[in-house]
Amino acid sequence: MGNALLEKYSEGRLCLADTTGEPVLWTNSIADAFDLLKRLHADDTLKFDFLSDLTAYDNGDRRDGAKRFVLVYQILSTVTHARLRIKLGVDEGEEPLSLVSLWPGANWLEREVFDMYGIKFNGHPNLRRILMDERFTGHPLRKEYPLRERQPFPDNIPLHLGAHPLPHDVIHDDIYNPNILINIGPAHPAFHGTLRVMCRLNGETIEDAACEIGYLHRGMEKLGEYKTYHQWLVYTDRMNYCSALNNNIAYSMTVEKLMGITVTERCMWLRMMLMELARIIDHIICVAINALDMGAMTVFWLMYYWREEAYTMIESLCGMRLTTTATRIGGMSYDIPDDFIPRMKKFVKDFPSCLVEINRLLTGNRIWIDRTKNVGKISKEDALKLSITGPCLRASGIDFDLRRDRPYYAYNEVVFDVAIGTHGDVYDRYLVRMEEMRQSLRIIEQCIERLPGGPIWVEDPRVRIPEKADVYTKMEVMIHHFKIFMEGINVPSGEVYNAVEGPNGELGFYIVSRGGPKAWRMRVKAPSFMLFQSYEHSIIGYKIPDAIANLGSLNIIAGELDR
Amino acid sequence: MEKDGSTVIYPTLLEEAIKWAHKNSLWPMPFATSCCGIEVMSTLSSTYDLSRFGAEVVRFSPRQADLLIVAGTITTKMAPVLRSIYEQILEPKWVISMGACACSGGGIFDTYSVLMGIDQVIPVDVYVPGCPPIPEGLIHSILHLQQVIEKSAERRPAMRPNHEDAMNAMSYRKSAQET
Repeated sequence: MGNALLEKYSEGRLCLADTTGEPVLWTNSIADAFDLLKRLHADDTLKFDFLSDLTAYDNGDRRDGAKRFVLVYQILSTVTHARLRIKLGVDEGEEPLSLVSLWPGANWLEREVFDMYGIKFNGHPNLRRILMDERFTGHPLRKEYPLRERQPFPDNIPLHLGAHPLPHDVIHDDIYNPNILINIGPAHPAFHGTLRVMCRLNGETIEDAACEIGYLHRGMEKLGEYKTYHQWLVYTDRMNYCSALNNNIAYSMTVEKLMGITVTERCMWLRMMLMELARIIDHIICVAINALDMGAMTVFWLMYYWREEAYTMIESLCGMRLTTTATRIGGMSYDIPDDFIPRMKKFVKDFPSCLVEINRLLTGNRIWIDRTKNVGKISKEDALKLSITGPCLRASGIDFDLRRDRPYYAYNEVVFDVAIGTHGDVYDRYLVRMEEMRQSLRIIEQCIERLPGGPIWVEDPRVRIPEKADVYTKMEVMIHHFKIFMEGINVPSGEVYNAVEGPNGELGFYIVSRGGPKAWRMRVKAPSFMLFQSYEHSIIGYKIPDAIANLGSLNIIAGELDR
Repeated sequence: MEKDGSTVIYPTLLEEAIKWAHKNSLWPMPFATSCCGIEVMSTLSSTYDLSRFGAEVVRFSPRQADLLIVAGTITTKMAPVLRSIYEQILEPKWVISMGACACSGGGIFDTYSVLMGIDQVIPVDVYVPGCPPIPEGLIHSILHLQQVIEKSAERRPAMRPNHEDAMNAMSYRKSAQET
């Protein structure tokens, strides 16, 4: 596939392969990049129908060409499962063409690039800041912006339904006006603490909506450039804090790919098992909170009991319940304790009874069906255009799962089914999540069966963290330990994009390394970001209570949304 | 009330009786922004069951609550929201700052967008360390707060920013930024 692609589209463009051999096309002309993407989008054999990610990095040291910034487009085909990266050099003041006409999902991604780097997009419908306050000056991810330069403002952002803030006299209008403006969030219980949506209602029907995000923007990507690879591991916990293990593993995997390390068999199977456990926890939270938001409290009590069970297991593994930091680059922080496998077996045996119970409580429940069926529909075409991933994409009827279609670790050796919905409504997303929990249990069972013995650490002196007992007794080992933690591991220069199927969808890490212990650019492609963008579109035409049901089913995790 | 139905009169001060009522029926409003919010949910759920300590009536309206649990990172964008929510809670009110981010900004999120501790904008009564604190930690802080209420422990003025202090802390002045 790669060769055919390179032959067809490489004329005049620099073709490269990144560290893992993925194709990269380089171009320096704005018109050419847009034309290329347009042709790839329309190509019938390659079928690049999906925009995975759009980001940029600061090329301040001019090591990637003469232009100041490099725009990076990651495109993917949900049919052939091929990936392609297109890079475009952009100077300050140049305005690349907006991709919103090809993929409406590029809207927020381009706003983020504008916010973080100040690159303006030509033809963008609503180019304003997305994560930072609109009164903010400067662009935080540029290398010259100081890490700790804070710009607080004493009041919240006014209502927006488009490019400009709405004037105050429109907001306080008389009650007979059919266009009532309403603001929900950010401190609204159903909006998970930090999400905010502004709606224009006609009667009770939402006619127009705009989301405001960035209330939990903590500058993780900027920190990625200031911390060593090991130090940044703790930040991955705090992105999708419902399934921290998944983030840890995905991140470690990315750095390992960049360094050319293959983890040991035992480590690999263990990581797969933990990823599936994290998926179950995440889905428990999603289903339970979705039901709780709609008033079904029993589901919350029942499912949280099992979540606590899973958390105690994780606690015995790494000492923390939520923010695990369980992996290290090249291995795990600890091997599993002796009683871990028996407990996991018990969990796998007993947890289905909970699923049966929830099934009885919800699936055939008249109230649940009325609240969720035909609510918040996202059609197949819209799902692709808006680049949503994960259970929500599959609920819309697109058969795409990274575990099966672009297998990593040993996912091609385990047997599991991919659950697909048909309508793309809240009810289907619930059903897909319930089925995925069953499939995860199946995978865990197979992992337990096949978990080999042997070492958990790869014997690579670049990354191998010595055993504590040796650190205290042998001098060379102590020096080695000191160097790994004080200087960091030395990662060769290169770049890699690696994505796993997280509980919410495609969780990708894009790392550009210029060599040394710190990354040059640390990009997180978070599934929640694209999901929350689709929310703006999928609540239009529904009522406010439907919007609440819809939000719960999307499972937006603010830490991952804003990073 | 005795078991057999006859009444007994306990002579006490009205002040003491009010304190007793306050401490045993705290109505929390969780201002849960991030990871700590998940642990607040765990604390309220079946295993840890916060209702044993009389603080299970979670109210999401600040007008109905008297205990604000700030759980999670507060960014500079969120700070005005937090301040206005705090001002909407009726007196008497207490604040628990849960987790390293809310207490001090955390060692780890020292960046351009994070507020370095909520005590710059609102007064805090109990700090809970941890990232995130385990549910036992939150329960301990509520028990501690009950003691604070019972003993009417003095609240130090230096740590209690008023409206003006908060507005100063939330205003951007380029000259005041430390390098």
